[in-house]
Amino acid sequence: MKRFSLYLVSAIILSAFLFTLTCGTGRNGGSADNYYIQSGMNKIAEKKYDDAVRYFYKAAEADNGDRRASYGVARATLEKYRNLLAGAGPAAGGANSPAGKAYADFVKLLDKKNWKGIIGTVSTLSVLHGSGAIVADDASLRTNIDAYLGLITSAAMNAYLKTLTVEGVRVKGDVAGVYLKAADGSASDEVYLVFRKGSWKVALFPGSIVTGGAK
Amino acid sequence: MKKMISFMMFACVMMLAVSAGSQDYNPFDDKAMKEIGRTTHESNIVSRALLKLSDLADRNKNITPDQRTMIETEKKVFKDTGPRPYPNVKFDDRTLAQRAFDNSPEGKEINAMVDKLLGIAKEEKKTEDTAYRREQEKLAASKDPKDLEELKNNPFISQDLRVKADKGLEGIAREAFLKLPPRESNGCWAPPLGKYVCTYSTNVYVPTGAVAVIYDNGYFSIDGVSYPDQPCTCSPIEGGYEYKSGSYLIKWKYLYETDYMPQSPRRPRSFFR
Repeated sequence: MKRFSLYLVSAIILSAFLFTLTCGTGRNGGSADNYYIQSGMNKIAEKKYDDAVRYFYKAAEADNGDRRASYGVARATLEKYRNLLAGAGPAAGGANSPAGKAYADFVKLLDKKNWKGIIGTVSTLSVLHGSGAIVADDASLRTNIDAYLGLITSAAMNAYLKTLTVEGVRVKGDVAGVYLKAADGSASDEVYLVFRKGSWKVALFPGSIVTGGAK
Repeated sequence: MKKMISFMMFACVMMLAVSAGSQDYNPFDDKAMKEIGRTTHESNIVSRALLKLSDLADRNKNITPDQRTMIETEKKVFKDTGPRPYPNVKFDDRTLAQRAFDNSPEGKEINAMVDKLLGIAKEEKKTEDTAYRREQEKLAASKDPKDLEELKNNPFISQDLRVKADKGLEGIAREAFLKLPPRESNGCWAPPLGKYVCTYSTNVYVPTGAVAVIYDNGYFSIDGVSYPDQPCTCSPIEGGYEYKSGSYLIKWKYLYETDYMPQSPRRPRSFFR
């Protein structure tokens, strides 16, 4: 009986050790990036979005293939704009307000695949962060830009945007939110703009691509 | 038989542990995160978005059959070859399709734009980093210990700002020390908890360089030896305090202050007797 108990205790200790080992070095990467990802999420909860982005960059540095870093950067960017617009009132003119018009012009440029026009109407780093891009090596950044442009000018995006109408626009300081909704209620979305160099530029498009964004 | 049972239990516990440990650690408590697709392309945030948008567009009855066909084709291209803004070129070989696209007028235009966006993104990142640094500099110049502590704990700040935050905390602590109200009705000052180094002494038992620690239980120690009675006849001077008693004078320079200073384990004895 004594020997039996000894076997049982050893088995439990060994199992606990193995459990710790497998959890600590899970398939999502080593402990370093897990730490940075968790810290980034904590910073989002603390509403320190710039710090959060820095943690996610650090996670990507520790493990370039960790897709949680991309999702984290996108999430931090979305939450930043949501937080900046918390308590903001509706913009006068709604869809016809300057921010609403800037959004409508942007959609037209996408529809026409007017590449030069698109460059001039976006806040580049912000939209890329919103799409989960991380400014690291040129090759991966290029792939991200390619992919993002492919998405926003795709037939799917085009058709999707046509199903949506502007439900409202909110402005607070130099940040604006354009809120979209499908007539049949099947989808809702959000787009954020920032006022830079005398005009409204798209800073996050669309919110639904971010995990936790509008659906 | 017993051995057999124990071996089986061992195996069961092992299997349970390994299966539990191999589950993905996921700090994103979001259903969507768990639904990330199977292939690399589908796990890409943008590709996943495209698939999601396709579904959303599909749900809408107002889209035309042509649009639906386009969406389906595009979805297939994305799934097969990964995200790329080339038109729906029907090549089986992605490299070939890519090359064909890169050499087309549209491809050249898009590639030039991608280059431009790449440059802009890097420039904007630099500007953002500079702005972040300025924010940290503001924190380093703050008079609020909370700001300074936060800065010290931030792994992304440069060493010079970390040193500045350290000094800031020291300065604030010293300021707090100098503003300490009299402890006794006779006007004596109680030095705050912390560590001090002796800079001047007329007492042979306390040499210059001796280190004093004021504990939170009323004890203090000099060079690691604890004494039960805390000196109260001390007055603040710049960067520390001085202690006067009878014919001797000891000057203590402040090293650091703390809210918690546990008592030394050494046996206490009276110093002033």
